[in-house]
Amino acid sequence: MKEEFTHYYQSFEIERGKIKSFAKVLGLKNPIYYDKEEAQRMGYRDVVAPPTFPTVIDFCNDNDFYQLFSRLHLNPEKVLHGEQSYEYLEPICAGDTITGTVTLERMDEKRNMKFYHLKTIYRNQFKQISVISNSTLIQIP
Amino acid sequence: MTNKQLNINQVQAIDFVKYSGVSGDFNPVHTVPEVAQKNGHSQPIAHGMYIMGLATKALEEWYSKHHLLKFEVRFLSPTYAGDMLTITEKSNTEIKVGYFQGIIEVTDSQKQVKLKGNYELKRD
Repeated sequence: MKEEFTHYYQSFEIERGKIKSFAKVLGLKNPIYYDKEEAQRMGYRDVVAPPTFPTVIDFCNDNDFYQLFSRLHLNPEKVLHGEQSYEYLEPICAGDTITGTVTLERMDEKRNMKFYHLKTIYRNQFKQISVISNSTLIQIP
Repeated sequence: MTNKQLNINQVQAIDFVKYSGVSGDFNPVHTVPEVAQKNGHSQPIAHGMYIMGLATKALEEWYSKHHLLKFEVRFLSPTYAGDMLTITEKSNTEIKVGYFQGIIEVTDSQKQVKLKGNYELKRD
Protein backbone atom coordinates (compact mmCIF):
# COMPACT_ATOMS: atom_id res chain seq x y z
CA MET A 1 0.00 0.00 0.00
CA LYS A 2 1.45 3.34 -1.07
CA GLU A 3 1.19 6.12 1.46
CA GLU A 4 1.63 9.80 0.82
CA PHE A 5 3.61 11.02 3.77
CA THR A 6 6.61 13.32 4.02
CA HIS A 7 8.33 14.71 7.07
CA TYR A 8 10.93 17.47 6.88
CA TYR A 9 13.55 17.68 9.58
CA GLN A 10 14.55 21.22 10.41
CA SER A 11 17.95 21.98 8.87
CA PHE A 12 20.49 20.95 11.44
CA GLU A 13 23.91 22.35 12.15
CA ILE A 14 26.52 19.71 12.88
CA GLU A 15 28.52 20.66 15.96
CA ARG A 16 32.00 19.45 16.85
CA GLY A 17 31.09 18.88 20.51
CA LYS A 18 28.02 16.83 19.60
CA ILE A 19 30.13 14.57 17.37
CA LYS A 20 32.70 14.16 20.11
CA SER A 21 30.25 13.17 22.84
CA PHE A 22 28.37 10.79 20.50
CA ALA A 23 31.61 9.07 19.43
CA LYS A 24 32.77 8.86 23.03
CA VAL A 25 29.62 7.11 24.29
CA LEU A 26 29.98 4.49 21.54
CA GLY A 27 33.64 4.04 22.48
CA LEU A 28 34.85 4.95 18.99
CA LYS A 29 38.56 5.56 18.83
CA ASN A 30 39.24 7.08 15.42
CA PRO A 31 40.77 10.57 15.97
CA ILE A 32 38.81 11.97 12.98
CA TYR A 33 35.81 12.23 15.36
CA TYR A 34 37.74 14.18 17.99
CA ASP A 35 40.54 16.17 16.42
CA LYS A 36 40.00 18.73 13.68
CA GLU A 37 43.65 18.76 12.58
CA GLU A 38 43.71 15.00 12.31
CA ALA A 39 40.45 15.03 10.31
CA GLN A 40 41.87 17.67 7.97
CA ARG A 41 45.08 15.71 7.59
CA MET A 42 42.85 12.84 6.37
CA GLY A 43 41.22 15.15 3.82
CA TYR A 44 38.02 16.16 5.62
CA ARG A 45 36.72 19.69 6.16
CA ASP A 46 36.44 19.21 9.92
CA VAL A 47 35.77 16.42 12.42
CA VAL A 48 33.60 13.73 10.86
CA ALA A 49 30.24 12.41 12.06
CA PRO A 50 30.34 8.67 12.92
CA PRO A 51 28.30 6.27 10.74
CA THR A 52 25.22 6.16 12.99
CA PHE A 53 25.23 9.91 13.70
CA PRO A 54 22.26 10.67 11.39
CA THR A 55 20.06 9.43 14.24
CA VAL A 56 21.12 12.58 16.15
CA ILE A 57 19.77 14.70 13.31
CA ASP A 58 16.43 12.87 13.70
CA PHE A 59 16.13 13.14 17.47
CA CYS A 60 17.81 16.44 18.35
CA ASN A 61 15.69 18.25 15.81
CA ASP A 62 13.09 20.97 16.12
CA ASN A 63 10.88 18.73 13.94
CA ASP A 64 12.06 15.58 15.64
CA PHE A 65 11.31 11.92 15.15
CA TYR A 66 8.63 11.97 17.84
CA GLN A 67 6.68 14.53 15.85
CA LEU A 68 6.91 12.15 12.92
CA PHE A 69 5.59 9.37 15.21
CA SER A 70 2.69 11.48 16.30
CA ARG A 71 1.88 12.45 12.70
CA LEU A 72 1.74 8.71 11.91
CA HIS A 73 -0.36 8.16 15.09
CA LEU A 74 2.35 5.95 16.55
CA ASN A 75 2.98 5.52 20.26
CA PRO A 76 6.79 5.37 20.62
CA GLU A 77 6.50 2.84 23.44
CA LYS A 78 4.75 0.46 21.03
CA VAL A 79 7.22 0.81 18.21
CA LEU A 80 10.20 -1.44 17.59
CA HIS A 81 13.08 -0.62 15.31
CA GLY A 82 13.19 -3.64 13.00
CA GLU A 83 15.74 -2.71 10.37
CA GLN A 84 18.11 0.12 9.61
CA SER A 85 20.39 0.77 6.67
CA TYR A 86 22.63 3.65 5.75
CA GLU A 87 24.25 4.36 2.45
CA TYR A 88 27.12 6.84 2.71
CA LEU A 89 27.70 9.12 -0.26
CA GLU A 90 29.43 12.17 1.21
CA PRO A 91 30.94 12.62 4.67
CA ILE A 92 29.04 14.72 7.22
CA CYS A 93 31.45 17.07 8.99
CA ALA A 94 31.23 19.61 11.79
CA GLY A 95 30.06 22.93 10.39
CA ASP A 96 27.79 21.28 7.83
CA THR A 97 24.10 22.12 7.70
CA ILE A 98 22.10 19.00 6.98
CA THR A 99 18.49 18.73 5.91
CA GLY A 100 16.57 15.48 6.10
CA THR A 101 13.44 14.50 4.23
CA VAL A 102 11.55 11.41 5.31
CA THR A 103 9.09 9.62 3.08
CA LEU A 104 6.90 6.68 3.93
CA GLU A 105 7.77 4.25 1.17
CA ARG A 106 5.42 1.47 2.17
CA MET A 107 3.26 0.29 5.01
CA ASP A 108 2.12 -3.27 5.43
CA GLU A 109 0.37 -5.33 8.06
CA LYS A 110 1.23 -8.79 9.30
CA ARG A 111 -0.28 -10.58 12.30
CA ASN A 112 -1.55 -7.49 14.14
CA MET A 113 1.69 -5.65 13.47
CA LYS A 114 2.14 -2.71 11.15
CA PHE A 115 5.43 -2.27 9.30
CA TYR A 116 6.40 1.26 8.31
CA HIS A 117 9.18 1.52 5.74
CA LEU A 118 10.71 4.98 5.92
CA LYS A 119 13.36 6.47 3.69
CA THR A 120 15.32 9.55 4.74
CA ILE A 121 17.52 11.54 2.41
CA TYR A 122 20.07 13.77 4.12
CA ARG A 123 21.52 16.60 2.07
CA ASN A 124 24.35 18.96 2.95
CA GLN A 125 24.75 22.70 2.34
CA PHE A 126 26.24 21.94 -1.10
CA LYS A 127 22.96 20.21 -2.06
CA GLN A 128 24.80 16.91 -2.22
CA ILE A 129 23.13 13.81 -0.85
CA SER A 130 25.28 12.79 2.14
CA VAL A 131 23.42 9.78 3.42
CA ILE A 132 20.39 7.70 2.47
CA SER A 133 18.70 5.92 5.35
CA ASN A 134 16.08 3.19 5.20
CA SER A 135 14.31 2.18 8.39
CA THR A 136 11.63 -0.32 9.22
CA LEU A 137 9.52 0.50 12.26
CA ILE A 138 7.20 -2.12 13.65
CA GLN A 139 4.11 -1.12 15.54
CA ILE A 140 3.20 -3.85 18.01
CA PRO A 141 -0.32 -4.23 19.44
CA MET B 1 33.64 -17.50 9.51
CA THR B 2 36.59 -15.11 9.65
CA ASN B 3 38.63 -14.76 12.82
CA LYS B 4 37.43 -11.26 13.65
CA GLN B 5 35.68 -10.82 16.95
CA LEU B 6 35.25 -7.96 19.41
CA ASN B 7 34.00 -8.39 22.96
CA ILE B 8 32.16 -5.44 24.45
CA ASN B 9 32.30 -4.87 28.19
CA GLN B 10 29.04 -5.82 29.86
CA VAL B 11 26.49 -3.18 28.87
CA GLN B 12 24.96 -1.31 31.79
CA ALA B 13 21.79 0.68 32.37
CA ILE B 14 23.94 3.81 32.59
CA ASP B 15 25.11 3.18 29.00
CA PHE B 16 21.49 3.45 27.82
CA VAL B 17 21.13 6.68 29.79
CA LYS B 18 24.28 8.09 28.18
CA TYR B 19 23.16 6.99 24.73
CA SER B 20 19.76 8.63 25.28
CA GLY B 21 21.58 11.84 26.16
CA VAL B 22 23.90 11.97 23.17
CA SER B 23 21.42 10.70 20.59
CA GLY B 24 18.42 12.70 21.81
CA ASP B 25 16.27 9.55 21.84
CA PHE B 26 14.64 9.80 25.25
CA ASN B 27 12.09 7.04 24.76
CA PRO B 28 11.63 5.92 28.40
CA VAL B 29 11.50 2.24 27.42
CA HIS B 30 15.32 2.52 27.31
CA THR B 31 15.79 4.07 30.73
CA VAL B 32 12.75 3.81 33.02
CA PRO B 33 12.17 0.31 34.46
CA GLU B 34 8.40 0.84 35.00
CA VAL B 35 7.87 1.81 31.36
CA ALA B 36 9.93 -1.15 30.16
CA GLN B 37 7.90 -3.50 32.39
CA LYS B 38 4.60 -2.08 31.21
CA ASN B 39 5.71 -3.01 27.70
CA GLY B 40 6.62 -6.58 28.50
CA HIS B 41 10.33 -6.26 29.27
CA SER B 42 11.88 -7.30 32.56
CA GLN B 43 14.06 -4.17 32.48
CA PRO B 44 14.99 -1.30 30.12
CA ILE B 45 16.14 -2.33 26.65
CA ALA B 46 19.05 -0.89 24.70
CA HIS B 47 18.36 1.41 21.77
CA GLY B 48 18.77 -0.60 18.57
CA MET B 49 20.88 2.28 17.31
CA TYR B 50 23.23 1.88 20.29
CA ILE B 51 23.88 -1.74 19.28
CA MET B 52 24.34 -0.68 15.65
CA GLY B 53 26.80 1.94 16.88
CA LEU B 54 28.77 -0.71 18.77
CA ALA B 55 28.87 -2.76 15.57
CA THR B 56 30.41 0.21 13.71
CA LYS B 57 33.04 0.35 16.46
CA ALA B 58 34.00 -3.24 15.61
CA LEU B 59 34.17 -2.48 11.87
CA GLU B 60 36.31 0.54 12.57
CA GLU B 61 38.74 -1.38 14.74
CA TRP B 62 39.05 -4.18 12.19
CA TYR B 63 39.21 -1.94 9.13
CA SER B 64 40.95 1.26 10.10
CA LYS B 65 42.24 1.82 6.54
CA HIS B 66 38.77 1.55 5.00
CA HIS B 67 35.59 3.53 5.03
CA LEU B 68 31.99 2.41 5.11
CA LEU B 69 29.91 2.68 1.96
CA LYS B 70 26.86 0.91 3.28
CA PHE B 71 25.71 -0.70 6.49
CA GLU B 72 22.38 -2.45 6.88
CA VAL B 73 21.21 -4.27 9.96
CA ARG B 74 18.24 -6.15 11.36
CA PHE B 75 17.50 -5.95 15.06
CA LEU B 76 16.54 -9.47 16.09
CA SER B 77 16.18 -9.40 19.85
CA PRO B 78 16.38 -6.86 22.67
CA THR B 79 19.58 -6.17 24.61
CA TYR B 80 19.33 -5.70 28.38
CA ALA B 81 21.68 -4.28 30.97
CA GLY B 82 24.07 -7.02 32.06
CA ASP B 83 24.31 -8.62 28.61
CA MET B 84 27.83 -9.46 27.47
CA LEU B 85 27.98 -8.71 23.77
CA THR B 86 30.29 -10.18 21.18
CA ILE B 87 30.57 -8.85 17.67
CA THR B 88 31.63 -11.49 15.16
CA GLU B 89 32.40 -11.22 11.49
CA LYS B 90 30.75 -14.11 9.65
CA SER B 91 32.15 -13.44 6.20
CA ASN B 92 34.19 -10.98 4.20
CA THR B 93 34.61 -11.02 0.43
CA GLU B 94 36.53 -8.70 -1.85
CA ILE B 95 33.92 -8.10 -4.55
CA LYS B 96 36.25 -6.04 -6.71
CA VAL B 97 39.68 -4.56 -6.10
CA GLY B 98 39.48 -2.53 -2.88
CA TYR B 99 35.76 -3.16 -2.26
CA PHE B 100 34.60 -5.56 0.42
CA GLN B 101 31.27 -7.02 1.51
CA GLY B 102 30.78 -8.80 4.77
CA ILE B 103 28.33 -10.06 7.34
CA ILE B 104 28.53 -9.43 11.07
CA GLU B 105 26.49 -10.48 14.06
CA VAL B 106 26.10 -9.20 17.58
CA THR B 107 25.32 -11.96 20.07
CA ASP B 108 25.09 -12.25 23.85
CA SER B 109 26.76 -14.87 26.05
CA GLN B 110 23.79 -17.23 25.47
CA LYS B 111 24.48 -16.99 21.70
CA GLN B 112 21.22 -15.14 21.18
CA VAL B 113 21.57 -12.97 18.08
CA LYS B 114 20.78 -9.31 18.74
CA LEU B 115 21.73 -7.86 15.38
CA LYS B 116 22.66 -9.21 11.98
CA GLY B 117 24.25 -6.85 9.51
CA ASN B 118 25.74 -6.53 6.04
CA TYR B 119 28.42 -4.03 5.27
CA GLU B 120 30.26 -2.67 2.27
CA LEU B 121 33.67 -1.11 2.71
CA LYS B 122 36.13 0.58 0.43
CA ARG B 123 39.85 0.58 1.08
CA ASP B 124 41.15 4.18 1.37
